[in-house]
Amino acid sequence: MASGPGKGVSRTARGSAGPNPAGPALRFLVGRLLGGAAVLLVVSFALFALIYAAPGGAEQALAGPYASAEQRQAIRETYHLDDPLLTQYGHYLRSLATLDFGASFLMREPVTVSLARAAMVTLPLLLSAWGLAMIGGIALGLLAATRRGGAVDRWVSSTVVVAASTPMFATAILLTWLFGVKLGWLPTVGSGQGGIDTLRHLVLPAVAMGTVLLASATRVTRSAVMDVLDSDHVTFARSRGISSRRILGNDVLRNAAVPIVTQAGGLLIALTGGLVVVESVFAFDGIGSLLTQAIGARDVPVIQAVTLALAAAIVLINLAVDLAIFGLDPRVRRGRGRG
Amino acid sequence: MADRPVTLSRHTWRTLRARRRQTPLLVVAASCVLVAAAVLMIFPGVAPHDPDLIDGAVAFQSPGSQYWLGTDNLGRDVFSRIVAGTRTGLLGPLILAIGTTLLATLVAVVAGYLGGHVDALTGRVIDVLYAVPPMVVAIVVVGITGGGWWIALAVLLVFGLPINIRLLRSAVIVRARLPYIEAARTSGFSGTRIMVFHLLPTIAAFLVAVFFLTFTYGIVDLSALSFLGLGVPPGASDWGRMIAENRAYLFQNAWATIGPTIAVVLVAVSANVVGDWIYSRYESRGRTR
Amino acid sequence: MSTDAVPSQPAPPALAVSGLTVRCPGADGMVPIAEEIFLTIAPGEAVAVVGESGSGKSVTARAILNLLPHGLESEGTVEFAGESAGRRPRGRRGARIAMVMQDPFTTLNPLHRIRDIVCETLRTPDGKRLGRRERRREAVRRLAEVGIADPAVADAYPFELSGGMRQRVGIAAAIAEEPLVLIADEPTTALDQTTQSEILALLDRLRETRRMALLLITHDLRVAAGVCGRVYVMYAGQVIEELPADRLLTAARHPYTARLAAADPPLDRRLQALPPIPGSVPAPGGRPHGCRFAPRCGWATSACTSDPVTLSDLGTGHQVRCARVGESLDLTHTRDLAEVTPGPAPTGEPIIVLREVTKRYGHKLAVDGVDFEVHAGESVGIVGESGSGKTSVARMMVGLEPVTSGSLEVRGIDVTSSKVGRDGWATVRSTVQMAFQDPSSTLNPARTVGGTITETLRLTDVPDRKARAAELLQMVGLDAGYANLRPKQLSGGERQRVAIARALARDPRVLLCDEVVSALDVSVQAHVLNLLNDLRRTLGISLVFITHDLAVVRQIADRVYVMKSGKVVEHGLAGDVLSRPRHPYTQSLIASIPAHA
Repeated sequence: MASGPGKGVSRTARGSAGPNPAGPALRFLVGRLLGGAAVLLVVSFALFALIYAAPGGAEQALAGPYASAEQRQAIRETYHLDDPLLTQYGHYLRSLATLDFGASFLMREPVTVSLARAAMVTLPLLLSAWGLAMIGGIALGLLAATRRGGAVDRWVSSTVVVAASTPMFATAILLTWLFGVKLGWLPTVGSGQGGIDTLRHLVLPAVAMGTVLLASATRVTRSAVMDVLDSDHVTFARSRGISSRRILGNDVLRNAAVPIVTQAGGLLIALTGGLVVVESVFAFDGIGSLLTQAIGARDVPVIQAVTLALAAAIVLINLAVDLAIFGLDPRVRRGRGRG
Repeated sequence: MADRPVTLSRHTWRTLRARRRQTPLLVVAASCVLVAAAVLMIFPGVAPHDPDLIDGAVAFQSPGSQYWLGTDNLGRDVFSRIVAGTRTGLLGPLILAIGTTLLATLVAVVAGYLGGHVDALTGRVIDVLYAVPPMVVAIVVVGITGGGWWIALAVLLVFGLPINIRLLRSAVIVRARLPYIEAARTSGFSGTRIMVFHLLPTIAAFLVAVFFLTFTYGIVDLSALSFLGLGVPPGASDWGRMIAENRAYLFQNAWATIGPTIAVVLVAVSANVVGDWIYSRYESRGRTR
Repeated sequence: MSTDAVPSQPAPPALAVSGLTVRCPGADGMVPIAEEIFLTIAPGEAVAVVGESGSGKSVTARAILNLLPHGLESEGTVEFAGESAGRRPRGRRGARIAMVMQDPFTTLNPLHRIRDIVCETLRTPDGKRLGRRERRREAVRRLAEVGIADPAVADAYPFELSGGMRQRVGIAAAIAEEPLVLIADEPTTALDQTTQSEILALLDRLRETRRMALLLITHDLRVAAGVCGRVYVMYAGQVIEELPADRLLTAARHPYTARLAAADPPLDRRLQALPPIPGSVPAPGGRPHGCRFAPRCGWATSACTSDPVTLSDLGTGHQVRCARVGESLDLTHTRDLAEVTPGPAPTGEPIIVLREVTKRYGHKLAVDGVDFEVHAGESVGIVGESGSGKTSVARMMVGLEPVTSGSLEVRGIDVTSSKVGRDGWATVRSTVQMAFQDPSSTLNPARTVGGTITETLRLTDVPDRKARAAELLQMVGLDAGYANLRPKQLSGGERQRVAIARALARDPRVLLCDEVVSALDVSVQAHVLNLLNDLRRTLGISLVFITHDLAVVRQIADRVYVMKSGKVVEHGLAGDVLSRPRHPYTQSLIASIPAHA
């Protein structure tokens, strides 16, 4: 709590916003962008260091294990491997800044091309799994919280504990076995040939990824909503005769939205780890498979590009979450911190 | 406690609710954890066959009295391999859980109790690392360095720390400002004594919860890594590895895949149920104070 | 909004409650918390329900509003202006009855603007929600009614306002639909003294201008007597006395009411000792069969414990639930007690000296150039509202907070210096010890009472720690058996005693008490205050007593410092400062205390 009862003089409205109401918003945004840039810089440095520390050094890492002597020489020149380390890092940063990740020696094409193709396959999967988890999770959490202690609540709560700790690949394998082998209803391999086929191929991977997250989203929603339902301001609203429906929309959901949105971002980030596994199970040609294939073939330019892309995505997601909370909570807007 | 309000406090209602939590799930989960631990300890004795014995003549046997869960493509006994899988399947998460609990406690208690610059710095570092998914880092690091199981374990440990430090630190900060800790300070006890004998016992239940939750995620992440072919060598009797290698033969003997999958799920879910129960029990008790 | 009653009939009461019983789930079945409550309030009347914690007064208020927490059940009837509230409870709330809650920091939705909170229940004549401009206009008008003149407040968010302002907003929102009855549940408990009296005056004015019935739930007898015309006194779930407010402090007929009034410290004089009530309020489920108060009552006879006691009517609106009501018992009242004069100005060397001490938290100056002294054997009070810096001063004296600038010496050791060292701190610790405010967290829940005290005794060179611990418990009025109990088995007052024993374990020369009685009920508070006065006399130690309550400081301090916004605005002998305040701030503090009958 920022101030105790009666602490100081009563501050009148807008006192803290200052003459320029856009000020805090702008400062906030700039701060977050700088923070994101710093994170990307750290990640790039860590990758750079890893490539040098890898067995065989940067040369083998970049040229691949099967390169000829001429290819190695070419690599030494393109990547300035004979320069001092810091200069090399400078070159490296410059190429990253121009989105030049080099060429994949496995695919024999620029990494950006492979990355873009894989992203087009992954994004629909990621978004459908996330959407499923959030919509389902919020609905179930709300249902459980408003019927606390009842049969629905108890059932939801225990199912959530079970589902939240089931590994994604295990769900994926069990789904494959059940729907692919036993029932044969849905395709279990590949990402489809477009149209309805793509959608059919999307179902099982999306459900496999979504289940765990649905459980987490349910848990967070349930406890956030219960906290708000218990709060004095909801009791006060009820004491003024405001309808339950209006209280649910106006008080409960709006106040619970802050933790739920924070969690939604965290879930999207957590999905990136599961993505690799689930795409591998379903042989889905997305970012995750690109990464596992690259790791299998020690195709470092691809590994590096995928990692940076994931890091950038994480930074963007966090930024989006911060902006959403900035919009939701006036206390954050007025620079008071949360709560 | 007659001169405390006993009637309307919402904490009272939370306790009442907590008391009504159903327990059958918990009993099943606790038994699973105990059975798994027992199997790990008396390991060679439980396996009916040599888990690594290859015999092409008995490949793809269906479950029966000789091979309880059948055999895989190389004729190895699936059940024995699942039993043998407890070594990496449970030991890894166990090391992870112990390491995380110790390190996170150390950092959280020292930073939370001392406050000031130490705590501010810790907070900053945690905020940066918090959003990093340990699983992705592990995949990338193990992938680039071609490192083994221990590197995977180390990465999961380091990158799993922030979330646990954050949980414990907020608990410590709340308690470090409580009168009974401040009274210990004004009485004249040393900082070390206060941290170890006064502060630590009050967050003990949190530590148990952190232990079980890390254990759960250790099972999930390590088996996922070995499923991807990272960490343990090919052919090892490791649950994740077995699932990956037998996946192609789902039609021949599904149990070679489903068996280890169920083992992973059972142990992970059980550990989580137990951890969750401890945590929620503590939480409701903490709130009634 | 209400249609006028037919003139020939007397107007029905604004609120009539009969046979209201509230039960909560206990170990075996439902346990009553409040039993058979009957109360009525006429339009425009102010009525108080008074009681200590555990009396069932708040739950009664919630039951009237049909807003009981999940799991609680109620029975009985509630009528507003003669109409039963039975079937559509929500329709009654807001329009018929509304509530103002205790904590203004949590009752307003933090995400909504004040104008939206105030106007949320308002509708245009054709039933539509108000538009944004209408809401603002309406909010400004209604805020002006509750004493907020600044129209900009309508556009503010709750976190931008002080506690008093928030409580005003809460009141404006509660009465937006012009309810017949307003329930105010401890509306001033979380507020500062000066703000308290303003809020009470506001409630009184609204009752008058709107002819609204006011039901005030409070633990504070002076507030009840100052604002209301009639008072219901509740004890252990029952109404034990109903009487005109002017009799509450002087002519109560129930021993409990009389003892409660006597335990309430007076502002204008220092008593030899406050008469406390032995024991504590029985919890629901463990209440005696006969008179609920009998086990704690000095006048109890066998007749009191055999059968439940009913209310007897004494006429002129006075009812009492006492088996011995027919006899004229000599119930001791405050004014009958011996008065003492506080100690004279101190002589001799001071133990603790603060010179020009400041404390800064970030950009906030919490303590601003304070000079302060404690001498051997004296009792010093520091009074101030929240945010005055009084607690910061105490925390610096025991080394819990570093001093930003100035000098702070404890027995000649300057604790602001970086070279205090181990021995220096050892001297400081054995000189000053502290007791804290919150009884629920002052003791480590994981330790027994004995464990807490013997552990502290390790820091001394006492040979037999167990025996010494028993001795210390004896000193604070607890028998040796308490050593084996854990904090959760103790009442708030007992925990504070143990905390005092723990502080005494180091045999200090100065005992610092930071709001040690403010979380306690009046009857328990009297115990602790008496204990502290006794300890000072018998042990010859000095007391530094930090409080927001002037009447409490009157009972314990020889000298008083008054703090405001980090500065000492006035200090001197207790009698001078509290009876003849010179500084305008002290004068306003004293003027804001509800009139004593």
